[in-house]
Amino acid sequence: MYWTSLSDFLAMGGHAGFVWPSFGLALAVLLGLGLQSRARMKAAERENAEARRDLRGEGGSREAQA
Amino acid sequence: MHALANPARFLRLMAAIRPYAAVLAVLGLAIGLGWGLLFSPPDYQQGETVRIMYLHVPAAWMAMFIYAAMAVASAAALVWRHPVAELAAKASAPIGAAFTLICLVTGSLWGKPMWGTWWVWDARLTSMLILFFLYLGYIALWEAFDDPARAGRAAAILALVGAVNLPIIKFSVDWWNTLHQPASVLTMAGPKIHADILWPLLITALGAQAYYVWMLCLRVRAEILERQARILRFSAAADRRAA
Repeated sequence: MYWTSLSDFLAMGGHAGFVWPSFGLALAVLLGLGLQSRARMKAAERENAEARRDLRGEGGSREAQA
Repeated sequence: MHALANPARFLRLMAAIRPYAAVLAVLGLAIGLGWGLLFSPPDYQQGETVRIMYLHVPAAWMAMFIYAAMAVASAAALVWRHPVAELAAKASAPIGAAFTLICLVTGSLWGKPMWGTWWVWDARLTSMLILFFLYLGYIALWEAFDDPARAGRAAAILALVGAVNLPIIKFSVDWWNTLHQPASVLTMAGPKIHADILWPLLITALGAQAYYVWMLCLRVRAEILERQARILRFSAAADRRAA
């Protein structure tokens, strides 16, 4: 461990105002993109399943008519 | 149905890779950044601000790598009309834009204490900003057309034309005067930085690469399933007309 105390670590040699926002922003961007990507995938899975269900449903009704 | 066969195999491949990419991304980023923050030494000139490097440099590498991957996939999409390549390029753009944003903002936060300015309009910073706008333009082009075939072609051409920016970014620090330091890891003579700094940097870079693959798995899956759904709805409508 390079640091000797937590306050030293948090102070970042007087550059806390530059180091911590950097890490905070990077984490927020990566996390945000991760959540958005996951939400998109779930939405696409739902949309796809729905389209398949509709297609099957129509096929079935057409067979019933015939 | 033939058009769906290949993407289906691709989906299975991505589903198999996904958990490994996720674990590698979380471990790589946690270990690399943790090491960089807690164990690596400060720079003798830059002090503790040098820790921003562990974000800035891998983000810059990823910003350029993802754009290169996007350009290659776009070329494959244009030449062979490969639908998966086109969707892989489309899925990559937001991930590349995210890394470019991280690179630009952390660079700015690093530049203020070290150079005395948030921003300079020199070749390296400007070409990186152009890369960010190329990503945004690419994403916007996809949204600008109703017909996905036309949107895909236009976006692929933009991705290819924009690739000329990549060597400009890489060599900008050698070709023009700049505040930005020249390459110190990817040089002809090998890395010029100490192992205590190089290791956390490389591990973070590995984690960032795995993060890209992870996000790509999620986003390509979304793109393929969406396109499939559109085809299914289209054929259902065609059936209705025929009936």
